[in-house]
Amino acid sequence: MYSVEKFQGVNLVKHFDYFLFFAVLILSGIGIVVVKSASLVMPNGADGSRMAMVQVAAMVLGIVAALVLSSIDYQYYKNFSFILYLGSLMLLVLVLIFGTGEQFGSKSWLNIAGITVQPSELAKISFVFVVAYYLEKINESEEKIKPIALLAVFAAIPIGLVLLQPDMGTALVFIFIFCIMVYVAGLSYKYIAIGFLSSIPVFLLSWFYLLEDYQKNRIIGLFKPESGSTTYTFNVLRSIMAIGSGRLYGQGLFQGTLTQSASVPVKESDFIFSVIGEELGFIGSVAVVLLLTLIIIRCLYIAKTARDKFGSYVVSGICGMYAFHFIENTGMSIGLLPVTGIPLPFISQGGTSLLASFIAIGVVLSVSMRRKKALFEDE
Amino acid sequence: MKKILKDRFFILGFFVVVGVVIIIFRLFNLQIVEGQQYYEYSQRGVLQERIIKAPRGRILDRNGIPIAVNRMGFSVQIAYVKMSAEERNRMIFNLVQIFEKNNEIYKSLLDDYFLYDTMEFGPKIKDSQDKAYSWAKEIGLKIEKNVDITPQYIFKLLKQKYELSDEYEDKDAAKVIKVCYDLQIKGYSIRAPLTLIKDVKWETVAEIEERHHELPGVTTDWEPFREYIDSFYVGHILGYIRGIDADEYEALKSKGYGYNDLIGKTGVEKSAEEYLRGLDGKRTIEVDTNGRFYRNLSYTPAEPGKDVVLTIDLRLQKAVYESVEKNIQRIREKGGEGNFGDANAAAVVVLDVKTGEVLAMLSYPTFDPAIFLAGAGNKEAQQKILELNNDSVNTPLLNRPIQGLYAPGSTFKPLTAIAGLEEGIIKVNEIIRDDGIYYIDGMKFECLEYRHGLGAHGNLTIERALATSCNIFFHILGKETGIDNLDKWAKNFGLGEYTGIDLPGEYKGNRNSRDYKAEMFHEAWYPADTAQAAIGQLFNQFTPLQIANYVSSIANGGYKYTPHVIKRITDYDGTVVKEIEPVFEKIPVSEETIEAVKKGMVAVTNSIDGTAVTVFDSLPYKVAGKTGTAQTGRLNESDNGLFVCYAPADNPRVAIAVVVEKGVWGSNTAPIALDILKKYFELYDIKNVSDSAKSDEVVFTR
Repeated sequence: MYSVEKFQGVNLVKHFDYFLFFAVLILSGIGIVVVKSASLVMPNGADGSRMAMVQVAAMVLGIVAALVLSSIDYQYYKNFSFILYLGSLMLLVLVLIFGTGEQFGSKSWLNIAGITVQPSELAKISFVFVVAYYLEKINESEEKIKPIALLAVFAAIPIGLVLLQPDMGTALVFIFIFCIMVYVAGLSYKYIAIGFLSSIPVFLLSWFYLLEDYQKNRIIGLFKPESGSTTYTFNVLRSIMAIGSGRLYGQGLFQGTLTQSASVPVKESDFIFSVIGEELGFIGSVAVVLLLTLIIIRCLYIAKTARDKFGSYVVSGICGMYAFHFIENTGMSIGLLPVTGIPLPFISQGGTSLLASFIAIGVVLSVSMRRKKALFEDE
Repeated sequence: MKKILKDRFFILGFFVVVGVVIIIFRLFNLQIVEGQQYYEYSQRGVLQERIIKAPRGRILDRNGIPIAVNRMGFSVQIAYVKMSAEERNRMIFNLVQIFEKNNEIYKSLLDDYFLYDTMEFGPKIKDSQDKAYSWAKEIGLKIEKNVDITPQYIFKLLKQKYELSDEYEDKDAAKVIKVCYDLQIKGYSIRAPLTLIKDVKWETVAEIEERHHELPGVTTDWEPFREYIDSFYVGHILGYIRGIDADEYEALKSKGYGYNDLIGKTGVEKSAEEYLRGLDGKRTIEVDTNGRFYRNLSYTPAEPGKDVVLTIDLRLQKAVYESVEKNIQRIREKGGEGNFGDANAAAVVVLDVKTGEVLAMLSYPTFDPAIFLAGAGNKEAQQKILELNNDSVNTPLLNRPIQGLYAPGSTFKPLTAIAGLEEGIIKVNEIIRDDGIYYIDGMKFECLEYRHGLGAHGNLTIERALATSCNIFFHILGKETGIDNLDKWAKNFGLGEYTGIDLPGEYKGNRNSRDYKAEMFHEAWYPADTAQAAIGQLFNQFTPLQIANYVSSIANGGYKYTPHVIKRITDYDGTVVKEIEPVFEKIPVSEETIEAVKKGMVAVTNSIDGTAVTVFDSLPYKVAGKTGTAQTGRLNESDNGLFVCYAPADNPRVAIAVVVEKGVWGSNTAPIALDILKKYFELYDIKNVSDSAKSDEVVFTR
């Protein structure tokens, strides 16, 4: 059978996507150095000495996970995707009960035996699998109503749980991933137009009834950052100043005046881009931006050429996740987008986030190895 | 082309590229076009958060005389500034010279490990090579293999580590190293400067400010420091503050205490900590890269602590101190049988019988808590603190009125009388006969007068028995009343129970009882024990405060107040935050009983067959009192002398308990009470009692 041939035809060494893998390695390498620099001096004398070490450990674990995952055919993941999905739902419920991190604005962290994990980071991946599973079902089967309804339910549950934390930014990531995947699955432009139009009243309603003042301030602050004295605009102004002061070559690694005086808030995670901008300058910032762009474009290419629809949807979802994280995080650091607590992929401090990024890359690598083109070349 | 437009992946990629182009364009704008401007701004835009220390609340005596206040003092900080090791060392050397010139003592953590002046290791690593080795390793000294770790060698390595060039003489290098070591261990940044030295002179600050170009990173700031006035007289009540210790910090950090904070350790400074402590303010400032102030960004003012007004009258307290000192000297020199001239300590409590307020409370020898405020660099003060802690003979840190435990001796007899009357063992005018000798369980009890050949007291009522302090009477009465009833009534009057005074560290003491004997000695209780218990001997151990409060309860007709030293809490502007209302408990004792005992105690002062006369001669009112002498059970040591009293007898206002350790006789301690009463009635002139009585003779028995 055709499919059996495909399954057997993969040469793990020959078909490995070295380009993507090394791009990711270089990026996370830069990330560790930048986290080290960002954690040298912490505000109020907090101890940041362990941060870079945690990051290295998560990276090593992530590389192993990525390599193992890439060697397994992603069709097998389909079978596990529901277990993974239920598991992450459970963690999301647990985090609502036992979670910590209110001081950062939302209960997003779970403390398990001294290790803090952020369940929503892991939930994103299982979310991608479940959505891809149903999109494939909808595309292939005659019966449409039932899978569409199930898709809606399964997609809505994790989004609702994340909103309860309350973590608006992460909820937006889920919604964005969902939109990208539905778009790639071929939703007609007619429906997309309807969706856009109907989102306007939703936005207006939530602006007047749902959004908290701090969330509104973040959006208002976007249009006139010099105006307010709110923490939000203060953080962004600090970040912009740090990035700007890097000039062409940067002030040098471990040398940034604002970074090394802990003058930029949350510089080790949310505002890590300010450290890159200040210490590595325009050259360093653009290099990081281009590396991330290359990874995303490469993912899109893999999605386009994937062996089957499931693989294509999964990679699209992961690609959407990277893209949203990347654009939103850099965008807020330079004052173009509202502030959310979304990390910069492969760079921001946070073990769970880095590990999740690597797991996702492992899945993408698995799809990449089994692409149509590679197989045709093989024949 | 059409095909491409239909390719949804291509469209997504297109949007990504557009986003990235916008980002890069923005970065170009920020970093290349406006970069220089941002760079310059960032160089002075360093944020520092400075804590504004809240002044601690004042402590005042009841008339508003300040005892604990605050004064402003200066401190010197150092912030991290980008510079070479050579520049840093030059800066530190400049600073150290300013300190030396103005006699500021700089205390370094290094002093615990390495001392240049004597070229030896400090106390923490002195005793073992291993410790010295692991310390050196820990701070990052590069020890070569197979080298003896000598102080000289360590000094060489320290010079290397902190890159001190040969232009510095060794003795100067050692001074710079001390500061470098603290900077390394304690850590400092431009955001969080390290306080190097506190409470420096104005001259030092002036010179640092004047020469700030030679001292990049060094800044000065001011903060309030505690200061005590006349604290010597009220040392034990006031207590003192010192740096928070590890346990306290763990327990209190959730309440906002920092690891560098000062906290009340004893006395009112401790018990009123929650009021005295203010709320630190905060200011966020921008400094330039030299750590110098540029502008204020935000400012939260400190909230000063609340003032605490004591019930203590400092004038009375001083009179108590002076009298105690004078009388102890007198007792030591007096000589006589059983006087070893070793009286050395005393406790005095003066209570307002109508409120439970402590008007004066002295523990002698006292100490001046001010020495605990001295900096770690003040060797003289540190030596004194060590002496205070190590003086096991006089134990000056012991707060005797609430922590000293004494057998009450004959001052317990009024209680035996109360128990006997209340339990119906004896009636007010009933007679018990003293034959001079009395046997219980084959044990012989003798009246002291009888033993000395003065004859037995004969027939006695309670009034006469108290007046003459006849032992046999109380042996018999106590035995009939029974130990359980004695225990119950002693408890009712708060003896051997916490009084609940608002001072930390109060002792409970213990009472004669079957349980106590069984627990401590695993022995049954015998009637002979009861006979002893009835005159206040055996296991009774009470604090002077308990004894004073018991006398106060007799004086006020059976109300047991909770004694307190804090009168009210006020805001710094004088608004009352909290007034401490009297808290009392009515003891279930009948008025008749109280009257009978009071008569007895007044009779003490009117009896013609006493052993001491004319002590209270000069007072224009009656005093009711009772002496007590308690054996300490140690050979070649004088007995403890006790005296309790209240006055005026017909309208009591104050109750006093005086204990002089090794004071030989109770009557020896009475003159102290006289001095106190004189001062009290001089301060609180009471016309309404002045004509009620004239020169009464006060007669003392034991």
